[in-house]
Amino acid sequence: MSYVSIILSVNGEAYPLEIEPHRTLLEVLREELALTGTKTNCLRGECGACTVLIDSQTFNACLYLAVRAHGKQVTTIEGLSQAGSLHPVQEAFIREDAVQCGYCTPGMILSAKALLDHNPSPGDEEILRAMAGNLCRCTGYANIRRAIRAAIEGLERQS
Amino acid sequence: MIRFEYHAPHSLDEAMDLLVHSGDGARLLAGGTALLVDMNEGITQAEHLISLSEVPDLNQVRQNGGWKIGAMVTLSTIEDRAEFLNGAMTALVEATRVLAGRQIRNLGTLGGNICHASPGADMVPPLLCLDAELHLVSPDGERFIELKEFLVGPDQTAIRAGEILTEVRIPRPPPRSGSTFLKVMRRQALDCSIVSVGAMVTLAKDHETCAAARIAIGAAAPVPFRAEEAESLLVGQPCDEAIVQAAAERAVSAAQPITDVRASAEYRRLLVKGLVGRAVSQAWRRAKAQSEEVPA
Repeated sequence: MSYVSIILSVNGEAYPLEIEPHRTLLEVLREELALTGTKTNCLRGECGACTVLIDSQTFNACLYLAVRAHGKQVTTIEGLSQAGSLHPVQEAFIREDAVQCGYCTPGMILSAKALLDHNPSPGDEEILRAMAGNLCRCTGYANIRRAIRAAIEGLERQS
Repeated sequence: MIRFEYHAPHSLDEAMDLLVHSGDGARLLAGGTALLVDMNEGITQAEHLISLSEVPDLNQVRQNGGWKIGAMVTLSTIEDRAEFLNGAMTALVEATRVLAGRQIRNLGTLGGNICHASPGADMVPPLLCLDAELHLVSPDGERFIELKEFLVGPDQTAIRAGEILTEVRIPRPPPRSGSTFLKVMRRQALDCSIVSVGAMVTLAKDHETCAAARIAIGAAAPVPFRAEEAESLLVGQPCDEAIVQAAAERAVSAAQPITDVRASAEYRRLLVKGLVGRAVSQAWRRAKAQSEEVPA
C-alpha cells in the first residue's frame, strides 16, 4: 500500500509525515509524535478518551484518518497551556478534584474547552449534551460537572 | 486497521470515475464513524476508500422553499442550525441531540446515516415525517427516489453500483405544524435506539383539527417505517386522548420488532405504543402553540 505525504499541524507546530492511509490520527499522535496525552481506549468512538480538537471542534481521534487532518489545526491536551499557565478548565479540574484515575481527563477537558469557546455561558442541559460523548470509568461525573461550572464562573468573573 | 488505498477526489465526476473503476473492493467514505469501525472489526472489507470530504457542494445546506441538505453535511451542522428548530423540522434537530456524542456528530454525516441503513438510524424517522427525497448520481445520469423506497432492509438500500447520494431534499415544511423525536436507549447518550419515534402533526386552519399526520418508527422493523394506518386515524380529528391512544395501538400492529441484545420484541411493542402516544401528543401541542403564534 502506498504512503501519503501530509503536513500535520499539532499544537501550532507543523510536522511533515509520510504515512499509510489507514493510520488514524490517534496512532500518529501517539506513535509518531509521542503525544501520549490523547488516550487509546475503545477504538470505536464510544468513550471519548481520544478526544482532540480539529479546527476548534471535538473529534474522536480513533475514527479520524490522519490523512484527513492534512491542512487542519489539531489541538491535543499537550497544547492547552499557554506560556506555562494551565488553561482555566485544567485549573478547575485540579481545584475541584475532578480527576480520579485520570484516563478520561484529557478528553473531558478538551470537550469542555470546545463548549466554552463556542458558548462561554452554557446552561446545564447544554453542558450535559456537550459532555455526553465522554465516559468516566470511575463514574466521577459530579466533580467533573462541578469543575466545568467553576470554570464557567471563573471566566464570567474575568469578563 | 485493515489496509486500503485512499482516494480523495475533488469533484463528483472524479469520485464516480474512481467508484466505477475500483470495482467491488471500493467503498465510499463519508464520516467513517460506522465504516471504519466495521472495517476494524472485520465486518466490512474494502481495498479502496473513496472519501467524499473534498468534493465541493456536498457539505452545503440550501433553501429553496424547502431544504436541500448535502449528503456530507455533518449531524452537528444540523444540530446547530437554529432555523431548523421550528415546526415540522424540530424533530430533525432533536434526533441529532440524542445521536451518539458530539464528537461523532462533528464527523458523522446525514448521507452516511441514511446509507448505512441501520433499522435504528436516528435521522430517518424525522426525514420520513418530512417526506424526504434523495438525489443520486451515477455515470448514467441522475435520479430521485423517496427515502421510504430507498430503505429496503437491514443494512440494505436501493442504491445501485456506481451511484452516489448527493443530496437530501425536504419539500417546503407545512405551516401550523409541530414535530418531535423520542428515543429510548439504556443510557441518555452514546447508545443505539431500542425504539425511536418521529411524529409530526399539521393543523387545519381552524387550529384544532388535524389536517395531516406523520408517524415514523425506528428499530421496530427491518427498516424504519411510517405507520400510515395510525396516521390516517388522526386526520380530520380534533386532538383528544382517545384518538391518540387509538393511533398508538394501530402503530403497534404495524411494527415487526425482533428480540436482540437490547430488548425483547414484546418490550419493543410496549415502547412503540408508549412512544407513539407521547410523540403524537407532543407534536399536536407544538403545532397548536405554533399556529397560535402565526395567524392562518
